[in-house]
Formats: sequence, structure tokens, C-alpha cells
Amino acid sequence: MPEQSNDYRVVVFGAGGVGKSSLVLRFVKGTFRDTYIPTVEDTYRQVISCDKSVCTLQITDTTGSHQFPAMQRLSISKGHAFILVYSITSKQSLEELKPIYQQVLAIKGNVEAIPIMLVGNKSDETLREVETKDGEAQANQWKCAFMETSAKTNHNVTELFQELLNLDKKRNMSLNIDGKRSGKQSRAERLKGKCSVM
Amino acid sequence: MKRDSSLVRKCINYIETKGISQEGVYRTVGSNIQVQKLLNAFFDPTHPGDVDFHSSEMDVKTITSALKFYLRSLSEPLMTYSLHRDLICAAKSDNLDTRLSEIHSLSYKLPEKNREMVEMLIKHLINVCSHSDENRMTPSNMAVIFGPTLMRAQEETVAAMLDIKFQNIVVEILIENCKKIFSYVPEDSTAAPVPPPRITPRKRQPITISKRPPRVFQALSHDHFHTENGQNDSPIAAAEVSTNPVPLQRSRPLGCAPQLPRDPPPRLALMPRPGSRQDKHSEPNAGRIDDTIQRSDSSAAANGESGVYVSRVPSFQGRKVPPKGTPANREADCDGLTRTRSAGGPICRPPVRPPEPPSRFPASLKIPSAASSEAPSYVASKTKFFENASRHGTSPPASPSSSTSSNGK
Repeated sequence: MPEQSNDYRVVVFGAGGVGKSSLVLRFVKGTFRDTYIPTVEDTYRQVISCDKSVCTLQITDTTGSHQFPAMQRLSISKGHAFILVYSITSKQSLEELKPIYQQVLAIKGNVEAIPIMLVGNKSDETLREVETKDGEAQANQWKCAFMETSAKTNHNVTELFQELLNLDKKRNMSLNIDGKRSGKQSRAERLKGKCSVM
Repeated sequence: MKRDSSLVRKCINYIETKGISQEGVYRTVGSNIQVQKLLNAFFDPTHPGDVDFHSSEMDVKTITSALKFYLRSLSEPLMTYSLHRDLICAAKSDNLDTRLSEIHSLSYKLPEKNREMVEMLIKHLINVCSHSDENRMTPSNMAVIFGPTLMRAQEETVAAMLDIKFQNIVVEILIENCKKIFSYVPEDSTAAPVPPPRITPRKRQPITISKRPPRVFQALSHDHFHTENGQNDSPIAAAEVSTNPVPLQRSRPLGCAPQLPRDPPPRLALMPRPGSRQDKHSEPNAGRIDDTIQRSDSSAAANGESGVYVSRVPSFQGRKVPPKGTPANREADCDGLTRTRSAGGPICRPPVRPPEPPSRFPASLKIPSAASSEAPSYVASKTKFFENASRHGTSPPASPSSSTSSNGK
């Protein structure tokens, strides 16, 4: 199924208020707003290069405040890659990801071929409830990648998406189209060490 | 799960005392495990309701999540399945006043218990939202959370998913207008705020849309009736009255609707209406209708609805003119009506256009197209009307509805 479409669909899951929308908006628009607006569901599109051609990266920002099982199932079955976001200031938000991960597992079957990134957002915050190693341990258990980000300070945001694309071994994808996004590229170099691919 | 207001009350009390200023209250979720524990304990048949909300395990997130989860687990959402589509349609209206008035009247169609609980919840949410500078939960934010909690479609279709944002609008309107909606029964407005006669024809439009026309008609018909009597041939009217007072009144207005503006009837004429049978069960509707009328009235020029009205008005006038210009025609019409009625069928209402289908669908969308399509075919619809009249002449029950819809036109 992934090869059939020219779209590459990334779905962002996570509990309410962990910063899913902030991450996506930071990546898509490069901005951060200190607003507080729950999301129903938003989808953003961006052109990326894929296998020496271009395709559309479609990012679906989901709602975290409640579950629509049908909507969630639909997003998972249509998604190619998943970003599971929690807030490092809330242990609870990491717990919340477990049922979502289980659901991805149930719908996708073999998760190992599917790019999944566990993301601890709000890394700029000082009131930390989830240590980096806790996140890593969880990612280890889920056999997925892990990264800590801050949409507010723009830490690891572009790297997150590039790394997610790199995880897909079936395609060779890059956020850069003909070097146009050189700014983001240079940031990508900073990523080493912040990201560990399990 | 069955409905039990004690859980809701307890949760509300807890939130209002402990969590009202917590950031993201109701948005941030609690531990699923704790939530399930709480609900299981609360609904444990051996000790129902026996939960210590103030134990150390409980926190605001758990309580808010439990309340949301409970409301979402009801076998039917609080705003009910049967009103879901109407509520969504109301929220889709371009006219903010129409949205409010529709939702206002729809909320009085809720079963009593549902409305009480919704009112209790909404009042609580207003209280929470009043602390939004601390908890950041503004009414619109709260609506995103409670839209899917108070409303859901019976089937989880893709279309239903697309309507989610309209659910949120409904809840936002409930929050923003709680005072009006829950303390001001739509029917209260019935008697006093009858719109000026001139506007009446236009106003009918929204009524038809809302598919709850019966009430409106009666009010209007009274006016019409009186007017007509004074102006026109009273013999016919009188005869009809004696045999079939209610239908007559209603039917009269239809044909004469255009005249209303010219001759505003005394307000008092409306008062007798309450006694009639239909009034009794359709009170809320009536209130709502009136409300709608008023609303649209005030805002008619400003918003999208004006377009609708405008298109309608011309058609009305067009219809009106022929009767006036040619008395003979008019007589014929009246005759036709009379005959039909005497035959036993109150259908006599000259439906300017064929009765609207009962569909509750996107009424708002429909209207403009309906109006425009109808306008040219006035003659055709007339013809149809007479056909219908003769066909159904003997079935009185049909008449109220058909006349209603035609009136709405």
C-alpha cells in the first residue's frame, strides 16, 4: 500500500496538551505560538523528495483530548509513519501513548517495518517528570526510535521529521529538495547524539 | 452505562473546589487505569456511589477524564441521537442568530432529564471557563473537548467525523448563551415578541427550514384570518369557521399572506390561539419559531439570510399580484378553497408551492435553491395544489401539515 500513493502520510499521536500541534506547526511553518487551542484534527502537506522524485509529505495532527476510535483507526490504517508524542513534564502523557501504540500494533501487524518515533516534547521545560532514559527505555521496548524535542526552542524538530523519513527503508526520502532547504539541513547535522535509533 | 446524575454532581463539585484554575482542566487526560477504577467503584452494584473523591489517588485529571468518559459511554449521548442531525444543521447555518435560536429551541426538545443534566454541565463549564486566564480553557477550547462528549452521531461514519467541528460549535453556543438558552424558554417569547407584520412573510422562511412550521402558522393565520375577514368576503370565511374553525384560519392566511404587511392585525388576535389543540403540544416549537423570526428579523439585512429572504420576497409578491389585479382569479381561488373544505378536507390552503419534503437535512442549504426554483413555477405549483386538494380533500389529517408547509413558503 505505501508504494501505491504519492503521498507519504505521517500521523502524530499523543495526549492532550503535549505539543503535537506545536511540533507540527514549528516544522511546517517554522513558528511557535504560545496559544492554547485543542485540536480537532488538522492535516498539513509539504513537498519532499522521495526516491529522486518529489512526493507530498502529509502530516496529520490528531486530537489528544479524547478518542474517536473510528477516526484513530482510520488514521492508523492510512498512515505510513507515526510520531508518538508525550510531554517530559507529564508521566501521564507517556502512559497515554501505550494504548495508541497497541492500536498501531494491532492494525499494522508487524510494527518493525513501520517508522515510529517516540518523542518527548517540551525538552526546554525544567519541571521534568520523565527522564530521558525513561523515554529511551520505552522506545527500546517498543522497538522504535526516540528523540526529545522542543517546539518552543525549535530543538530537534526538523531532525525529528527527517529521521522519521530515514527510518522508512522502502523509500529514500529527504526533506530537502535540491538543496532548497539548506537551513534545515544544517540543523539536521546537529541531530547526532540527540537522537538514538533503536 | 445508565445515566446517574450523582456521579456528574460529584465530579463537578470536585472540579469546582479543587481544579478550576488548573491549566488545561478537562483537556489534559488522566490515567486510564485510575479512571476505570473510579468508575468501576462508583458503579459497583454492591456499594454504588461509594467512592472517596478526596482520597490521595484522585486528582483533577482523573476526575475530569472520568466525567468525560462516563458521558461518552452513555448508551445515548446527552444531546441525543434524534436531535443530532438537527443540531448539526443548526450549527452549519451561516446566520449566527439562526444558529442560536435553532439550538435554543432544539435544546427544549431534549428529554427533561437530559436537559437538566446538560444545563448543569454547561453551567459548570461556564464557571470553569470564567477562570480561563488561569486554566486557559476558553469556551471555544472547552467546546472542542465537550463537543464529542455531549454529542455523537449514531454511526461513526466519515461524514460524522467531518461534522465533529460542528458539534463543537453547538457546544460552544450552549456555553456562550447558556443563560438565554436555559433560563429563557423559547415559548415565553411567543406572545409578546410577535414580529411586525411586514416582516412576517420573510420570516416564515426560516420556519419552514426548521421543519417545525405548525405553530407559526397558527399565529400567522390568526392575523390573516382577521385581516381577511375585514377586507374580503366574510361570508365564505364565516361559513368555514363554523364548520371547521381551526383549519379555516390556517388556510386563509396562506392565500392572503401577501396582504399581511398592509394590514397589521391587532396583537390581541393572537392570544386566543393557545387554546387550540395544536398549541398544547407544540409550545416549544412555537416559541422557537417566534424566536427565529425575531432573530432573523433583526439580522436579516446583515447576514447571509438576507439573500434568502430577498429572493423569496419577490416570489411572494409575484404570487400576490395576480389575485389582486384580477379579482376573478382571486374569487376562484377562494372558491376552490371553500369547496375543498366543505368537502371535509381542510387542505384548502393554496399551497403556493408543493409541501416541503419532511427531510430534516441541510435545510439551510436547501432554502435558497428551493426558493429560486419555486419562484418560476408558481402556476405549476398552484395547479399541483388544486390537484392535491381535490385528491386529498377527504383526508383532514393531512391538511394541517400541508397547509403548514405551504404557509411556510
